[in-house]
Amino acid sequence: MKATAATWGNAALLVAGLYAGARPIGPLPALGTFLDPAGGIWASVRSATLPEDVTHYVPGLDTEVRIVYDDWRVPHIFAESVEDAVRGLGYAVARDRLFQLELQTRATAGTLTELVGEVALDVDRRSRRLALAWAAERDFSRIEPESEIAAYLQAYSDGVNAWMAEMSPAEVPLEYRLLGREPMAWQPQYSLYLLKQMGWTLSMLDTERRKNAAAGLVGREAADGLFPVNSPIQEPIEPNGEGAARFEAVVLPPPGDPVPAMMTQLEAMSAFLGPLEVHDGRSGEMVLGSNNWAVGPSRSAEGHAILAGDPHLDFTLPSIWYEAHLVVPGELDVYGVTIPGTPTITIGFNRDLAWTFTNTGSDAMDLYRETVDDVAAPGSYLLDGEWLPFDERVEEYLSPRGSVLAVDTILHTHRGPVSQSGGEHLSLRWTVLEGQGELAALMGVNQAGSVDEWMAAMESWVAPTQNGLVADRQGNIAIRATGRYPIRPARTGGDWAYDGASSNNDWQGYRPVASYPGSVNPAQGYLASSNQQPVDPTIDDRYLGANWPSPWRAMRINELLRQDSLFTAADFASFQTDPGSPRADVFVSAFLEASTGTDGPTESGMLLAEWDRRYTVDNTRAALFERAMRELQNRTWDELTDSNGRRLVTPRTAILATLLRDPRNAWWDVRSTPDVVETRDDVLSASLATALEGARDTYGHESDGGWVWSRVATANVDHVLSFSPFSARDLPIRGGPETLSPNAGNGGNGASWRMVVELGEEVEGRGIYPGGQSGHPLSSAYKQQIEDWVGGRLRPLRFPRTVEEMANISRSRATLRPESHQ
Amino acid sequence: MMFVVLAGAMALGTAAFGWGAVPVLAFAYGVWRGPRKSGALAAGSALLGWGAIMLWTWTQGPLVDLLSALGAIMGLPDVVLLLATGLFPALLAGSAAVVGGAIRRT
Repeated sequence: MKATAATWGNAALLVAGLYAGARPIGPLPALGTFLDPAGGIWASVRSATLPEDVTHYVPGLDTEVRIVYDDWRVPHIFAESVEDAVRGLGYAVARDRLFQLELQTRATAGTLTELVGEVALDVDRRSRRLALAWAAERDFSRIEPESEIAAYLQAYSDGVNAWMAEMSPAEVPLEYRLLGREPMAWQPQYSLYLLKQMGWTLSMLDTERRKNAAAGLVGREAADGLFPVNSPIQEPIEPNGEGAARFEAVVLPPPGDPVPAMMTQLEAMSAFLGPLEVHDGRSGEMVLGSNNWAVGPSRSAEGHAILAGDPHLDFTLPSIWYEAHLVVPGELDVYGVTIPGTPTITIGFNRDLAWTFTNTGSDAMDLYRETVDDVAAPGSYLLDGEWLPFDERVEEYLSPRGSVLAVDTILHTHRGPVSQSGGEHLSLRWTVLEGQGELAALMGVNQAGSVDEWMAAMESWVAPTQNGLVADRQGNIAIRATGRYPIRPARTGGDWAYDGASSNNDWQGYRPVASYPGSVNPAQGYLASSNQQPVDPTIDDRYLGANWPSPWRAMRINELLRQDSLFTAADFASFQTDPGSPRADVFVSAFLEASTGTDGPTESGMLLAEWDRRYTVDNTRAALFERAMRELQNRTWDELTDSNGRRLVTPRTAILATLLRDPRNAWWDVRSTPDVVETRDDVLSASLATALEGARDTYGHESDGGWVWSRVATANVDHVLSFSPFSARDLPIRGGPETLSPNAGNGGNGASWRMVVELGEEVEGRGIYPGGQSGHPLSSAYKQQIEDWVGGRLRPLRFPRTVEEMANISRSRATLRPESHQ
Repeated sequence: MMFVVLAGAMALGTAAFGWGAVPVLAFAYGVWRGPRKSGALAAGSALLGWGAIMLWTWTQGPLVDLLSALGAIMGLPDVVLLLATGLFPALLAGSAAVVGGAIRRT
């Protein structure tokens, strides 16, 4: 009897063990496949280093492709046709970034729940409401099956899937092991998903939401003043012939009465597009910007063009960028960074030219307030007096095991998807959902041989609107803000929601390419952009957007490039981490002036005066200034807080700078002191004094070392699943809010790729990004570039013409052979 | 000797067929040898077999780094995952061998 009980006990133990081994329990992965030392999580260790040489067989390949990895694990892909090179790129990207490919794709598709479970349901719902995958699928179905684009998409997909077919259990990314999932097969249209994702990241602006929030709190007139169509400081991308930035004489309308209806609209907008990001006052500015600039031969020490670019995006590990070099003799020889999942180089150079982008930030989306037949169960919407039926799209959300978590029915008008909240029905028209031409543009750009060819190739670009800067070996430089600009009804901008009941409010087409803002070989000898308003409105006042980022970075780079000197690539590299700040120049002066009374400067004023206004790593006064800026914004924009004391919106600091010129404007008055009417100098001096107290409370006394900038503001590069051991945090970097290398907020975004290219006899590129080529957290190439990136150093980008030139720098090789050779 | 042979079989079986090889081999061993001591021997062999693969893995890459990273991600002391990697096959093998032995006895 005793033996039988033991046997039953062991049988139960065995069943429990088999169950736990085969099935996930709660958040735990299935233990058998997870702990298996030969093929589970531990096996990941064996794939941290690339093998010296492998041969794989790839379907669809015409001839052999050789991939040679250099000492930075950059794949140099040598092929006989562009299609095969693209297959090699798909293979190489999948080999290094497979989990990232799937995560990004699912984020766009709204299928994250299938990977991580119900926790992602809200995020997925938003993605599907915005119809990104729907639009990508529609675009894909419209591509001619025999076209080059279709062939490239298929080739890339073949490459990704070929890697998945060949990879060993040890090479399955360890994130899959942790989640207890298997990689999904790649489909050609997923590349289009990622282009839509790029559009979402860069053109989903919050202009309407900000203006609505402000109007809800202080009225429409004040909202128009706080978030204006034209920047109050003009330093445009298209040169306006002026030798310095121009501060416009703008008088801000005083705060008016709240408009509660606007808050209702805001709620509907937020339910659709996402809540407004509430700034904590540290910067009040977006930092998802970018810089680029170039000089022609007349401004370069070596007598040829030099180009620099650094897109500012969210930091992640692995990085949003992946470096690659594609060589097809006589057809293609291009080096640069690609967005994993897309079959082209996005930013880079070839043997003839170099190019880079900054985001234009034009207004490419409008919201329409629709009148519906039945608010509770709408079936049609009103247009010009007629009821039109909605199109319906049913979206199903699945769990990792395939069960249905939720089902949504999403309505569409002729404009786009609809969202409803609080009885408001809003439809969205957005260029990102209106076809795609980005892939054709980038393929053309990769193969362009001159500035003219490059500009022609970019004409098919739809969204997001980009300030494309190009320089070639003939010494030409050009910039153009390329992408579709909607033509809106007369006398309106897209900065407020339209009435959807009238077709008169619909877009009336797009501006012709010839009218895009831009410049070719300007007399000043250089071009630069930093997301500022592209054209001076005194030259062209057609509506392009509103609430433009403050042009502090643009002012700084123009200041540097206006110097009477000839530049080198090394100068450009140092400019990319330049710690100077026109923003600090403007506001420090104001603080010091306000803090100096008849008895001389206050203690806080004296401390601030010691600052050289440069955000160097070891400076000890920027911390005081940034706290003073936060206090200044809190006091000045106190009318923009909701009933919970939370500031809903913060105008750009350029607006605040404008307000400095109006010392008695009503905005300076602080609501919490009804008996006193504060002026500018009252607010400035009080802000600085409070900042000093706060700095001492937080960082200790200024003499104790706690104010060192590298301890106050750091960069943080988090793993895509926020696993802290796989992240790089608290990186001390040079730069502050709105410097050329911006560092603000949580430190989670900034210069995601720095590149400088000299277009001499031979094209020479230098570059760096905060990450590494490998997506394997245990690989030495996972964080390989971070140290140099932190130090502001660029590394030479290897640009060999042949496999043989790689002999001394090759670390690993992969040979891809046609499946028929197997 | 049987201990080492079975451990080798467990290691090779895991490499070839995955973790499921452990209970299958242990069960077969239990059926062959009967219930007496087969549970303990199978458990020890599984531990040794997986331990050998872990040792080899340790020579192939940064196993200690992975161990500490996983510990941090899961909020567990590093040693817990190592212990689990040893105990899991031992429990499976031990119980499977006992059940196999019991079947032989009947």
